[in-house]
Amino acid sequence: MAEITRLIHEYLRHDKKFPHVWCPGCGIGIMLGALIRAIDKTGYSKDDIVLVSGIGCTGRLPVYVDFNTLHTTHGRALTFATGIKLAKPRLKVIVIMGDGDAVAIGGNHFIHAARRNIDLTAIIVNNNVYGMTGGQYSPTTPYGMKSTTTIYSNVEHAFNISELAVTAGAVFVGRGTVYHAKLLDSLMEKAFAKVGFSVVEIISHCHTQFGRLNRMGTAVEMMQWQRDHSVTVEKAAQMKAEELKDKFKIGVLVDRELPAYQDEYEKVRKWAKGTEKR
Amino acid sequence: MAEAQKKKEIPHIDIYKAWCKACGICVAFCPTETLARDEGGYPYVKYPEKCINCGWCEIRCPDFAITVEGKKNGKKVRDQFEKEGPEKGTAAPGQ
Amino acid sequence: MKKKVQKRELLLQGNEAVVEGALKAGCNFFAGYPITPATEISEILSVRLPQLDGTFIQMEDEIASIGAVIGASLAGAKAMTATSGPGFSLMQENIGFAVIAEVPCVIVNAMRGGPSTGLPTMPSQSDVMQARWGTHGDHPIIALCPSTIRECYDLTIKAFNYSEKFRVPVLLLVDEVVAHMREKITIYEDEDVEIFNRVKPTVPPEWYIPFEDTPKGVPAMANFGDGYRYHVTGLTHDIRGFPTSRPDEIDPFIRRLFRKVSQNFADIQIGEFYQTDDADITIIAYGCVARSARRAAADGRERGLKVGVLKMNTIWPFMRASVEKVLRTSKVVIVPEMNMGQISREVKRVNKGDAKVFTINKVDGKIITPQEILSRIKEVY
Repeated sequence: MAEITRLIHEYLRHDKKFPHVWCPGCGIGIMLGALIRAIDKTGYSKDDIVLVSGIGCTGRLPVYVDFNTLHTTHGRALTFATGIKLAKPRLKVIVIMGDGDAVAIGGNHFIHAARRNIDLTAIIVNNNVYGMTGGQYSPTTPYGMKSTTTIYSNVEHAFNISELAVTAGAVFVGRGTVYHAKLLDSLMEKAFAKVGFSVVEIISHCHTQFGRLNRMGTAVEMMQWQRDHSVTVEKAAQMKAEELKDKFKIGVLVDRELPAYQDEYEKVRKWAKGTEKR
Repeated sequence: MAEAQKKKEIPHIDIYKAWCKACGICVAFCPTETLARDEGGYPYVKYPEKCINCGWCEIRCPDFAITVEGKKNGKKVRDQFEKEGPEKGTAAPGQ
Repeated sequence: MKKKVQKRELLLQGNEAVVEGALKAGCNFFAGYPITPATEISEILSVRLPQLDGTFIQMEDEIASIGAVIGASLAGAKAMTATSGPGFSLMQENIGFAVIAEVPCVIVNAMRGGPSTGLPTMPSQSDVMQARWGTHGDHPIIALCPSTIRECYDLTIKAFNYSEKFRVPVLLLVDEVVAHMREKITIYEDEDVEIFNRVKPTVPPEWYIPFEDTPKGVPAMANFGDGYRYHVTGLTHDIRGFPTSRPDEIDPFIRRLFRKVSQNFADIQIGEFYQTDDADITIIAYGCVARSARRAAADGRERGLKVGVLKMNTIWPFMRASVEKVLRTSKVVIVPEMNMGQISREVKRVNKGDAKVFTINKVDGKIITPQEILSRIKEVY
């Protein structure tokens, strides 16, 4: 098994200070390991991979890895990534976002990137909170939970990021948790192999802010919560709605075929040049 | 004979304390409770012989600070690793 | 003897001339969002770019448009967007990103009446200060302003050249009059117009320092996918592009960003003096108002008044040297603007009292006419 870590070291930027900046036990580190293993499986050379991130704890991920990396403004990672992919389609573009980054300030860009089927993978680390800024609630914070800005408890209802992605038109949507590290490997591998807009939602935890305020215990206990409240898509199919009440599904939620944006736009170029009739 | 064989097969666990942040995840999720936490909260190998080399700790460590070498003693594993190297299944780009 | 060059004689709208200039400069990526009075630029590029194997995309809003432009530029494209006041306001944060990450790109602002929805189909020059300080934080900016259709063509080429040469976002402020009016323009096909492309690194990837502090101040720029795997961030960063909080790295970085522009004023500042040497009265004007100023000066000369004009094509960085020159030689300086006085503030700031500065501030959505300038001259002189 040591080869896993040996592999990870091949992809890290060793002129960056390690250990990395995230809190002890944060799920982003686990997700980073899975990301590197999945990228290694794609066979792409490091030169052809672009890692784009927004602002937040997840935003600090690309600086640690040896790819073309871009740390954009809050919520706008997908727009920068769209520009990169369309300007140089051979690049493999992977976008890392947090829940606030992707579906709060970035919500408009998220649904449109999905609708357009831009050929890239959006990886959303969903820990139900704005961690970096100290624990405010986010669009995925469950109803009734506490945060530094809902101290009397949250009266808003949360998004389901994966369903949002499915409805908006993503061709591949998978959900995993940082507890199920092996599942993350396979979900990301499938997403990277997919042509079109693929989404991997990763349920993670923020024990430092959200866990403490809601008495959910340490990172370990929050990961145990993930283990006990998740159910695979296959198993869920046999379960009654009642049993699924406080559970969320993990695994591949949708996997369909749609032409990617750059291939469609290549048709526009042909029509424009008259080399092909509509 | 079984005794000697079992001793030889103990997987080699490395804990890289410079990167370890004592989050306790590896200890908590080790299926055979091979690991335990010292007073500083850092993991240490309490029952080496219990380790079944499942690699759960290595794959869940957020800081890549724990590794588990294969079943055989160090040397044999390295040959196996090299042998496996080329066919590690690196698919061609975009496949 | 210059050989006979193949030329096109066209009757072009300002927005059309901007497109011709952009394509001449090598623009191969455009992301935009519909907004009067800039939409023609998007529409024409949506037709022309795919013909040239370029890329046009209409994004979901202006923030996404400038985001896509910056992404495309990082991948190696020459990218542009075009908007008007409301969209320009939305773009400010990402324009700041282009400044700090030193990403070449061109942003056209077809200025209309403001604030807010304002006067969508009527002109104004009221975004001038926003062009300077729209995005937060200390930053230099280059903003050019055409007053004729020819200048729409030439200044768009210059905008791309400056953005590539200094690795900065360049703004093109085109008021609605110039954007929508038509004039004859002759474009010489194989005219050797200087087209500048970003300087690529020549050192191998291991030695590449992406944000190196060189005397010229502009580091070589590798494009994503060229084998130089480096980090680009909106956080203040060190010379290798990694985020820093060290004062001894932050200070030289911010000052280099300014030095890139201030060291090249001579190259960047474009303007023209018309009969200002003997002028008692000089009109300082830009955009469509510069046209009225030229006519007012001619009419004034006929009435025996020594009137000159300083036409400014570069709004930012402020053409301090040229303005000071006319302030020294004139008794009276008139600054007619279609706003409440944005450039006139700068003129007064650098005025050492040699000349008296008067303004015309027209904010009714109509262009300032030569007669209005002339009667103002009679009033104050």
